[in-house]
This record gives sequence, structure tokens and C-alpha cells, in this order.
Amino acid sequence: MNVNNDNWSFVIAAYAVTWVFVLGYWVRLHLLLQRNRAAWVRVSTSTRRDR
Amino acid sequence: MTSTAAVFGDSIEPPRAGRWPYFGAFALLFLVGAQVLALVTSPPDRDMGDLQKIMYVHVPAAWNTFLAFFVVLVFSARYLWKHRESDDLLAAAAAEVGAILNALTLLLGMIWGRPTWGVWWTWDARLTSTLVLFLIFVGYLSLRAFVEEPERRAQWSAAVGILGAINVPIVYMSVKWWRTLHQMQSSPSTVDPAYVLGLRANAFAILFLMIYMIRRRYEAAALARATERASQAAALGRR
Repeated sequence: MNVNNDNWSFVIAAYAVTWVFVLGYWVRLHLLLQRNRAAWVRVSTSTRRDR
Repeated sequence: MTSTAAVFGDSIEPPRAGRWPYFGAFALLFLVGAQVLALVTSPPDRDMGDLQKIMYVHVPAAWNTFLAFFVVLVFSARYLWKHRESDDLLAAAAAEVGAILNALTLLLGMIWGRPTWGVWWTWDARLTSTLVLFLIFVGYLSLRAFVEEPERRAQWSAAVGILGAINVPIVYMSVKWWRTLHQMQSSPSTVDPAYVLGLRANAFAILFLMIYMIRRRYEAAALARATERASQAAALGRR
């Protein structure tokens, strides 16, 4: 088996898919964190005010 | 020894980000460095040519998938033993990150398989068992989304998590137990010495990213739980 020719397109595709996964999940995670932290601050502030 | 509660925070108060964002930035930069190192220093393989370079992303993704599901196993078992909410949330965080890495492993395998085997997919023992592993953890995450009662959700998902993680050794050994198209397990002792450094560096890069993502996913889940609890307490106090 020799598949030396024109393989760079597959290599580039593999690295591109990896970065799409890494950065895609990274962004999703940070949006989720931002949303959840804002909700926590809102609830804990209003709880303190109610007291 | 540092306890997991100290590293990952406690379930009563939501954990703080602390220095984790710096660790995340370091992990990303480490991945860039590891990939550049591997791509620049490794010579083309005698048979596969430059396709061999896919190994630096496919194999570390697979190893860390196994590791993430091992984390699910440990924290699921610990939840069933101690009933601590932080263990349940950690297992769930590891399951989500593990499922992402598992999907990545499958996709990268398909991209590698097309030019080497001539097909994107074949129902070979390694590929099929990896797909089954992925589907189990998609089921685990769906279960968590559908069961609303926190204690029942934690117990059921711990059981599924343990059963799912037991599949990991089957996936790992599938290339030895059955006749498959897939090559034997890759490790620094089985690959050409010219590829060892790149493989190790990329495995650590994905490991650092995985640790970071599990910790931050746990933080997001703990924040959501703390918010839910504080809202419930406030509603009860107003009555």
C-alpha cells in the first residue's frame, strides 16, 4: 500500500475538524459559564436584598 | 494530598474560576505548539506518507476519551457510595467532554480511513465498539436532560456511567480479540521513535484541555444548581 500522493487534503481536514471541535466546545462552555454566573449573581443579590 | 473538593470546589457554594482561565490559555497554546512540533519534525511514513500526521490528533483524542470515561466511572461509583452532589456533577462534566472527544475520534478515524482503507466507514470491531461507546454516553447525557428530580437523575446516570465505562476495555482490546481492519493499539512503545515526541506532546495537550474543560463544565453545572437552590429557598422564604 502506498498512499503518498495528494494526502495533504485529508491531513488538513483532520486538523481543521480538531480545531472546530476544540474551539466550538470552548465557546459553548464560556457562553454557558457566563450565563450561569450572571444568573447566580442575580439570584444571590436579590436574596440578600430580600433579607 | 489535595482533595477533589479542593481542586474542583465544593457543591454547597459554587466554585470560583480562580486560575483556571490561565490554565485553559496554557492548554490551548500547548496544543498549538505540540501540533507544530509534530507536523514539522515527523518524517513521512514509508507506507502512509503524510497521512501518518493524522495520528497526532486521532490517537490522543482516543486515549483521552478513554480517560474521560474512566473519570465518569470513578465519580459515578463515588456518588453511589457517598451521595455527594459534586461527584455527580463531575461525572456528568466528564461524560460530556468524553462524548465530544469520542465524536472527534470517530470523525478523525473516518478521515484517516478513507485514503488508507478506501472507505469512510466499515462495521469493523474497533469502529463499531467505539460507536457503541459514543451512543451509550449520548444516552447518558439524554437521560440527564430528561430526568428532572436531581437525586433520581444522579442515581440513574451513575449506573449508566459505570456500565458505559465498562465498555472502554472492550473498545481497547477489540483489535486483539477480533480480526479488524484497524491497526493494533498505538503507544509510544509501538510507534517509530521519530513519532514518539510528537505523539506524547499532543497526548498531553489534549489531556490538559480535557482537564480544563471538565473543570469549567463542572463549574457551570455547580453554578446552575446553586442558582436553582437559592431561587427555591427565596421562594419558600417569601411564603
